Amino acid sequence: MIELEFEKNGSLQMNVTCNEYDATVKFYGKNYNTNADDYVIINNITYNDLILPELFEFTTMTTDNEEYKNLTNVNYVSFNGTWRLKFTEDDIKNVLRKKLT
Amino acid sequence: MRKIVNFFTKEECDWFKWYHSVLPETRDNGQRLLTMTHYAQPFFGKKLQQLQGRLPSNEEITTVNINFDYSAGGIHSDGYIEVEEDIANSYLIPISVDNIDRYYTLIFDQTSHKAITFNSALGLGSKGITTYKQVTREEYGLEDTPFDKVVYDNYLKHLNYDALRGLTVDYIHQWKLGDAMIWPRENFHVSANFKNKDARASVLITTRYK
Repeated sequence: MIELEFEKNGSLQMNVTCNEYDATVKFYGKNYNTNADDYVIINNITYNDLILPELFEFTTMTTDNEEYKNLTNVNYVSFNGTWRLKFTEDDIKNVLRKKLT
Repeated sequence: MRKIVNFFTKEECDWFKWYHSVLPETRDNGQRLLTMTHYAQPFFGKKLQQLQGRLPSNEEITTVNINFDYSAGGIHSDGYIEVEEDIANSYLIPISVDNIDRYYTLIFDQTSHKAITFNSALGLGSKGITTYKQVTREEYGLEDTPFDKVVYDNYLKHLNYDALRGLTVDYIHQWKLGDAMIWPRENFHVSANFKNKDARASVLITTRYK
């Protein structure tokens, strides 16, 4: 149901789990000393064949960096940590309403 | 080509019903609840590509609507609305059908390149009409030949028999879940009368030549 489109640059590894209304991506393996510039971009979110980048508003991320421990609206990942997407059917309706009315 | 069998899978039929349920606007035109799919919006791009890929390579999509019919329709052509274009075909794909009732769509020999309807002349008033131009029998030039009585009795008793004078039937489609019924957009067509008013829904795709 949920599809994520990634652009990977460097050593960050990913473990992706997608369910009906939520998704989790665990990012790991980045060495900040040797690969400081490595990152992953999540280019798009598709739900049920609808391409809805607005769903980034429903994302959070916890990282291993003290300064950026908790992030919201995340599509650029440069830290090890866990990215989460969670929404409801009503959120989909609201996204479409905003787009179309 | 009259038909494409299994144009939609059961899952795809269900997808369109779900999509209708999350869209913000549905219009009631007096015969059906009609939802525009906004097929040209970027968010529909993946689905549009899937649909376009099932059509002949010389056709491109101009409309994708979801219809929940609660009343049999009037006679009309799905021609161009304002700007004349090289209209191609209509593809009507049932996404919900009743297991007991049978649904039919009748295609006539008569044509109009422009989208017009006889709904008012048929006694249906403005029901079913949103953008199509109403014309009378005289304006179109229908002859006085009596309509096929057997076809009328079997399918079109919701319409005035005399108002059908001059029309002849080219083909009668029976609805089957997921199968695309196809006819040239310029051909007049009409829904046969049906009993179960709550059960039937379809996706209408119209195309033009590239």
